[in-house]
Amino acid sequence: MQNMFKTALLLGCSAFIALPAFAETTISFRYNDPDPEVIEAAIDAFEAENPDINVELERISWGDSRTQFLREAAVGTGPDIVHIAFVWPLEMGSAGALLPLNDLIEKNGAGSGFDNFIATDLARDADGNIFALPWTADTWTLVYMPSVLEEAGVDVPKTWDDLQAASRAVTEKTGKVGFGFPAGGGATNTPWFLLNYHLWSNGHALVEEDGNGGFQVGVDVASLADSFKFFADFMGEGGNPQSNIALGGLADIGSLAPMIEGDQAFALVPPNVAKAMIAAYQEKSGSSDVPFASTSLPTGSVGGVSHMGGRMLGINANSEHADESYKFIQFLISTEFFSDFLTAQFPASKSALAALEYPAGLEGYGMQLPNARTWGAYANGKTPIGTMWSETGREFGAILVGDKTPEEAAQSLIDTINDMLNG
Amino acid sequence: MLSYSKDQRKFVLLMLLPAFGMTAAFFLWPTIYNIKNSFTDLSLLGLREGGKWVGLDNYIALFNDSDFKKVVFNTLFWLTFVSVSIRLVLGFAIALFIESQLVRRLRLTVPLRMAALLPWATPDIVAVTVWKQIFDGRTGVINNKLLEWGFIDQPIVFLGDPSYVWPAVITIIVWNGLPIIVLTMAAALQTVPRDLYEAADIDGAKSWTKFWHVTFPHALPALAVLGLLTTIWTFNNFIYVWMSTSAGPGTFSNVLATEVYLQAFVNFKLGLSSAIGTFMAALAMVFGVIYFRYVVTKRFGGLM
Repeated sequence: MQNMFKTALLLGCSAFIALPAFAETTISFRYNDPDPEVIEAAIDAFEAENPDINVELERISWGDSRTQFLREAAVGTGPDIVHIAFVWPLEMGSAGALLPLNDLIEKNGAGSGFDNFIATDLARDADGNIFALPWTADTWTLVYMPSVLEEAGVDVPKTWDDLQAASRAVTEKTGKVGFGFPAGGGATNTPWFLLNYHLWSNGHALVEEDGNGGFQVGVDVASLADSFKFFADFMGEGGNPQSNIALGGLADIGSLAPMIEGDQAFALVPPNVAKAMIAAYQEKSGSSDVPFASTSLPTGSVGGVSHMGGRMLGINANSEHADESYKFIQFLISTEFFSDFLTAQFPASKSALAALEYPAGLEGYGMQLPNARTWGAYANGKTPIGTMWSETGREFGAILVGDKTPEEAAQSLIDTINDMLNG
Repeated sequence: MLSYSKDQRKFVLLMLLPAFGMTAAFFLWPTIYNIKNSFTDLSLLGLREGGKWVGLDNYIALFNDSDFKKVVFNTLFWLTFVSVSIRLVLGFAIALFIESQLVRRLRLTVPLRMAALLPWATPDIVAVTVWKQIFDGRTGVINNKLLEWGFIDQPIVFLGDPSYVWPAVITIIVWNGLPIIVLTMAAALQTVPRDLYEAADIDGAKSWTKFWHVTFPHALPALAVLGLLTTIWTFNNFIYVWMSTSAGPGTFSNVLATEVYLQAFVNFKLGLSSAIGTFMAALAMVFGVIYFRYVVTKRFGGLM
């Protein structure tokens, strides 16, 4: 009996001592894009290579992810790794929600070097703290349906004015949608992107550096009103159906349906949406043909400038497993990850983008990416981009329903941004 | 009158203590915290540091903002007054129909009561998504039928045209909110003593007279309580307005609840958002006190 007791005690002690050797560290990764199965497969591969690290996948919609993480981080919770938009790292870093990655980068490296990433100015603050690593890259460009252009007898537009004329001609000659875009209120991001592209293409910006370390509005009322009016003129006979005023965004039911059904000539969309449109068309038609083509953004007086968008990966400042989390991030930014798993998105590294071959229908993104700019001053000023985006959508909506003239809306938006920049 | 010993009173207090504690923890404390935040410039990006004391600045900013007056009007008139009135009238009418002799004779009372429950069994997100499809300007069934029958030449953008957006939103809210009115009123109508109708019949009373002098007075207490509850629930409604119009087009259908969300989670101004929340609570409280004191207690006190 005594021997049995000793044996049991010995076994118990051995198990206790051996436990840490087999212990798994569990980290959580909150991923917001709509293809979790790709990430689940990648996690399986990562866990096979790293049996001591267990990765739990969390999901949330993009619409809620920013505020949810800020709330969680403020009270010491939240996932270890977060999937965030390009313009969020600095605000999240300054709020104390993201861990500065400098030590981890110095110790473990970061892909082909931090400077090989695009949009590093959106990840690194003025004090040199790096709050996230750029992961995927995208921009918006013009996707069109050649068959509809042919039917209407119009050419691929080169300038914004060409686009307006072509859109109107498509609707007049075919009854189809010309340049269709969601034109709803504050919750719609499309007016924000369109307005900025038009402003940048004509040498203006809503926010710019003032040369003294501060920020200022970079457009006058007349020019901003012209841009508002330019897009408002598309409504109805200009080629964008009035019904699109009720659409909440590109994800809204009905937003891209006319394009997929061959009833729309032009759309300005990011690459994941273009790919989804191609896939939906192929599924509907049962053919592998790519019905769309894409080209660079229409130009204004200084070119055709879109935004350099994309996603970054950051580590929660509350994470107790920063090393393991960084190891997983290294796996996610690797070349193998993009070739084996996330093939539908473009990596956010300069060298990878330069070597990329763009598939049929997406060739326009290859043309546009060199002409894309980062949000830069927009992200560094005091005004949250989400606020400006919401205000822009609301002012645009106010013009469309006749509540304000383009000049009144422009003045109101400039006043709001000025107040926030100086507040 | 019953009298209680000191020990019995202590016991009752002790038993009530957990309920008081829960109310204080989950209602009173958040309310005080919200009121405190409304006097600060707290931002969603500054949750760790907290906000700086700004006194009445948030309230002054609200009341000096002409857009805010429009938001208050939208909330009080369109969202609350119009939608609650329609629901009460329509709900009462449907309840009268369900409890009518004709429906009873046809043995349809139970199936109709169950049918009336259907909107309640539908999740909000599903309901709004389906209604958005119904109202869609391009493929919506209403537009298709109106065009097909020749009533209109161009589709109507129900959720994007200022002339139609409130009627469309109110339609969604009324559809969702009718079941509670119908079922409660149907239950209230069942409590009306049958012998009163028999007496009225003997006196030769017409249908309208029976309704006005027998049915309506008995239904009124239930209607009054429903009026109070529905008003408060609707006044705070966020989901239907936000999901159907996102407070647009522009700010056309913005209401207090959506403004709270916009200021807190789009503009990140938690202090200002808290001030709007406090203002909403104060308005609801004032309405509740006036309504209960002067409408419910004084007018129908004898019936309740």
